[in-house]
Amino acid sequence: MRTKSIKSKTINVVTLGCSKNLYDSEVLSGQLKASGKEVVHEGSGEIVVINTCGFIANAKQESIDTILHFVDQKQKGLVEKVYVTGCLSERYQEDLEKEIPDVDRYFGTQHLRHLLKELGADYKHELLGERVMSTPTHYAYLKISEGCDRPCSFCAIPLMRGKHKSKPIEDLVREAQILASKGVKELILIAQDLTYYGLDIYKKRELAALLKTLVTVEGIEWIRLHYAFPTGFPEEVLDVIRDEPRVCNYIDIPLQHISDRVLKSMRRGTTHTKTDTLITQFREKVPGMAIRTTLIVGYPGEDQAAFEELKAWVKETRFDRLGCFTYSHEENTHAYALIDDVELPRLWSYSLKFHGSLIKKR
Amino acid sequence: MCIVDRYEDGYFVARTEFDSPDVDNTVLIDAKKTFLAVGTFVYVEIVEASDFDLYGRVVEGL
Repeated sequence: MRTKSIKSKTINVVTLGCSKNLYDSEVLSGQLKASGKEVVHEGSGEIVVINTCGFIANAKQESIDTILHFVDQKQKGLVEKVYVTGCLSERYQEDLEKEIPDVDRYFGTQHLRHLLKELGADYKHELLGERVMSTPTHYAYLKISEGCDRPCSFCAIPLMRGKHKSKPIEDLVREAQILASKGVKELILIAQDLTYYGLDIYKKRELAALLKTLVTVEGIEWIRLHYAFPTGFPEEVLDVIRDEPRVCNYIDIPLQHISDRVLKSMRRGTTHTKTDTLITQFREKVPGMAIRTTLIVGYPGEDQAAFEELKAWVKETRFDRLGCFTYSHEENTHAYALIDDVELPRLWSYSLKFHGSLIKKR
Repeated sequence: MCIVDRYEDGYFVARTEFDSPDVDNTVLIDAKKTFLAVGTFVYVEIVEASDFDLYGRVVEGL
């Protein structure tokens, strides 16, 4: 490879996993660009930064395959440096350092400053809200908080992202203004847990207040809510969705299951009855609102009765959008102590055939 | 009302407020009949539906 000076080397940021990771890559790229670095997203460059996912088995494998691919590229002389950051790196740094030592350096999710320094850039606090967008210019994700305080038994997120940390409303408004000035018309609010927003810094749930402020940002026409949590859902958010035309009649609220026994084992802090009450409240307060949910099938101990209860409930509830995932047995989670005893064929039967039949009915 | 996300395979791919990018349904508008700018809002009449997507044509504002 022809050698360029450090300054002129292109940094290729490769992102795996969810929209929250994409957001982090956009922030990283914004910081690099501000330090005069040439940055591409999913392109080609002498330096590669892989922002990994460590959430479930399939995602971890994809991240490992991607690391191995770029390590191979490095061994062939096609790239010079390979850095790994993100959730997989946070969760398994020591193991990765032993197993894939050809990576130049691993960084955790909280080590943006160190990663920037390694890449010859400085962290600039004044860049708060400045990102290099990788979505189409008319919509953008807005991460309103980081981490999660929920104790869900199956979830490895707190191991990788730490405790819940809300961003102040004024910072988010500033970020929204910057995005709007770049042509963004739709903001998609994301977090590990949207419902919890504000409890840490304002000592009360402040998602409704945040929405009421964001709708005043000139140029933003749609605001959409993703990753709400059912337990402790602040009712006043529904009033804002109903009354503010710029807040989409849409909510994404992962409910995971409906069997009381499974919900208790999952440590979700809710029940079948409470969940039904919440959905009824959604539909009464905001008629016509699209409700999106995601479910886990095959959780340890999910017997036939619990499975049939879930199926019947999905049929009755008639969600507008539904995603169905198979359980992933994750080490260091509470559920890892349980026996992963549900056979996969049943899961696929459910998630493919049943899902298809529901679509036709709607 | 829909927002136009992109052009793909002879269609403008749009979304209603009830659909999020990447994870939900889209509204497909025949690009042979209508030219649309990506990132704009348009009113669309739904004329057909498949399992995951809707087909529509652009109409005047309501």
